[in-house]
Amino acid sequence: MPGVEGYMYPNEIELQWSVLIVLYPYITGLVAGAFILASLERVFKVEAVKPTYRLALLVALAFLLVAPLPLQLHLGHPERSFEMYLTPHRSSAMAMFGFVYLWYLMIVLLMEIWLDYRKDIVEWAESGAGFKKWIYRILTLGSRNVSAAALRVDDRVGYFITLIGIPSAFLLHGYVGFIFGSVKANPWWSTPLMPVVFIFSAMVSGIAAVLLLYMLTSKLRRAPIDMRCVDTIGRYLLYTFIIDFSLEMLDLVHRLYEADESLRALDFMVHTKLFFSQVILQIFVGTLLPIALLGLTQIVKLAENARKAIYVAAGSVTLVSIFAMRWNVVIGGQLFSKSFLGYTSYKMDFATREGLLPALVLLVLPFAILYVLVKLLPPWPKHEAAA
Amino acid sequence: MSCGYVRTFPWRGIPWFLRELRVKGEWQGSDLWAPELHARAGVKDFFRSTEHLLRVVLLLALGVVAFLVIRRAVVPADFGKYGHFRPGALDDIRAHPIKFAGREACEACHSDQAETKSHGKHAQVGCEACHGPLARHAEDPSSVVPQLPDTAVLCARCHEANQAKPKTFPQVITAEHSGGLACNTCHKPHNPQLASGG
Amino acid sequence: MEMTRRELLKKSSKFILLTSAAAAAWDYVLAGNVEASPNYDLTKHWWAMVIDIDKCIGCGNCVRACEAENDVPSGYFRTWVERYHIPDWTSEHPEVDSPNGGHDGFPEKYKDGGKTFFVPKMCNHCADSPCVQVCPVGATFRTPDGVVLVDQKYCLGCRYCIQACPYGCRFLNPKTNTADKCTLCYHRITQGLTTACCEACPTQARVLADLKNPKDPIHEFLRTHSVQVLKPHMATGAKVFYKDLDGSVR
Repeated sequence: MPGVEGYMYPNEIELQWSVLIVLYPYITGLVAGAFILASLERVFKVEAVKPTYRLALLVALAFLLVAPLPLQLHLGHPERSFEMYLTPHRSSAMAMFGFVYLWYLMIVLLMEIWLDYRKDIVEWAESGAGFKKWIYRILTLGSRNVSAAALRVDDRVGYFITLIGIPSAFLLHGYVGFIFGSVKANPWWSTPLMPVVFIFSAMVSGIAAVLLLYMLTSKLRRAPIDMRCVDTIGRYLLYTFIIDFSLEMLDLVHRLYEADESLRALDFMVHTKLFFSQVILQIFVGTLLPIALLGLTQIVKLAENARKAIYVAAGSVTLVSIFAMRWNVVIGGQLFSKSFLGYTSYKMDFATREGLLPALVLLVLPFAILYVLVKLLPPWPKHEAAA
Repeated sequence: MSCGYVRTFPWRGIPWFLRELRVKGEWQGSDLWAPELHARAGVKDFFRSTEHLLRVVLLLALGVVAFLVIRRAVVPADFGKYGHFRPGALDDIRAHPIKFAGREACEACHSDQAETKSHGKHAQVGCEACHGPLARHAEDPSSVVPQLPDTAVLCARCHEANQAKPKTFPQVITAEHSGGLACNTCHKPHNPQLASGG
Repeated sequence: MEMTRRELLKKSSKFILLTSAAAAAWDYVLAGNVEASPNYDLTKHWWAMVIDIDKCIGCGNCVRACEAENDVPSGYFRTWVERYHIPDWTSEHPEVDSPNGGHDGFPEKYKDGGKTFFVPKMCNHCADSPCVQVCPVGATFRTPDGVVLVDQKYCLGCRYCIQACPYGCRFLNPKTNTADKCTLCYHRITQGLTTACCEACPTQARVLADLKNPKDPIHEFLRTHSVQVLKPHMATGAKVFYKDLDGSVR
């Protein structure tokens, strides 16, 4: 049989979850990570990262709006997806998706953005022109109340929302880890560490994404990059990466030590089918290299340009590495047989419903949405609003 | 809420990230309603500064109501009767057409073949195991005329020698066994034993 | 609008009563038909299957019969047969093959006298099924009589159940775009027939059983023979009992 080595159960040969299911945890991971970075300022009072606060929220929103799309494309019957709201099966982690998503989108993210921007929205509704003016008017929800008392209420409620937003973000992405981690049939997935690893790698990717976008948008606007801000973000990226790497290594060491019946088959798979994506891309180039680069900035006093170059390099490599991590989990878990006697291959088409093309479009779409959001709700301080 | 209550509540014991929310000092002079901006704090002022939030709450409430109405309309009333599923599914599955009639149906009409078969080694082999699915024939015999299977192909499926087959099972290498002759040249399928006991 | 308190009470109570009446009527309309075949009692059966490895000859009749009875699409299998070959005691693992699921039998491959046998596989209709546990909407479920089924009109095609099954018995049906698997010929067994695979098996290697029927031969069988289930460490409550299943079977 083409693409099969050894023995696979006949129904296992074709992969069930495609690159779109790799994309989904990647996107929600970026959402969770960006939100955690925003919460650093709001809840943990890290003043240094304030320049990225509004940007991080908009990045989270742009990606969150795209998040259900890979799932809808993947479903055999996307028109029935509303059933998850109508008759959710309480024993299924996947049934949680609709509610957690709605909760996070509306109560956490939209409310927080609305409350933070409300004063500006009212201003723009009154002073704006044309089509945009009507959008702002709708966004005010009919209330023009921006008295000091009202704004103080906004601040308090916004703080509280960010506070509950942190566990909500963990839930939004952690449940995906649980979806994989709770499948006892699949030893590559089944581990209690899975939700934790997912969350920490999500934070890594989200922080890297906001870091890169901040540097990019500052460059495009010809605005100075706040070095104190990016240095702080870089430090948090380093710490989170170290925790993430430790967790992944813990999982690996544990597996190698216990050496249960699945080890031989999985070990062979990592050394052959997943060698490039896991060993090279995820571990060496994707984790050890950024940790080394970021670690360097902490040990040696480097010039501003050198630090900027490191942040760009480390950030970009990180984004690729976390995608590779999702790939290795989702695709890797389906490449070996549950009989531990064989392997199959993943044939990714290009222009089909679950092919490479829709995956690329879905990767680019959040940036297009972000562009619209940034134009509609500029996250820059007024004196810097240029391009 | 009395002033005494506010004063004696152990605000010092609350976690650092919640201290932001506490109301400092007396009721009237609280941080929340900035006494320098209001002559007196009261219910009216409270609503004036939070009415935009109430609009949001109203929108959400409308959404919840709409959802409940849709749910009532779309989900079958007996969902969950036997478990977390739609009982109508059982009807759907049971409505699937039957293709194999089962040996009892065949024996009702073909009692002579059934009698012959019951004395031989093929007694346990169902009629449709060789003749294929014939429920439509059983229902209306003239509508479907069953084709007799080609023994050269049919018999080998079970009786071609294979190391994986149980040793006690009768198996031959057909090429050597019959020299190319069809199996029913010598063996009658319904009672395949040869007269000499082969 | 001027209204006395009495008028208000009258109007509102009328409104409430009519709404509840309308709601009850609507419920009745939506409830649909009671299940057909009222003489089949769901609570009086607990279906299982017995497979005797010593009797299986790998003819593939069961695979073909299932395909014919249930319109199984080509290349996917509600049931299939595997052939195991263990050359000698030094083998690290058995050699297994299943050409087209055993649909057309097995070409002769081994002539070394090693341990070789067939293992028919199918959905185990687990009592504590992990596939039912993970379905997000209740499209796959276990009936009160012990059969795990898929609601083809409700399934989203998310494929979580296919991932959760330890035995590889599920697949996505390309015609319906929903999950699909062995139904234990539910449409047959609820009418007193046996499954298509059991009907077609020439050696009685596969036999349907009803554990709640005191007269069913399975009770004596379980008492007098050594039986195993696949992957017992998964604690799925599998109800397909294998007699003489070798330890090397995956």
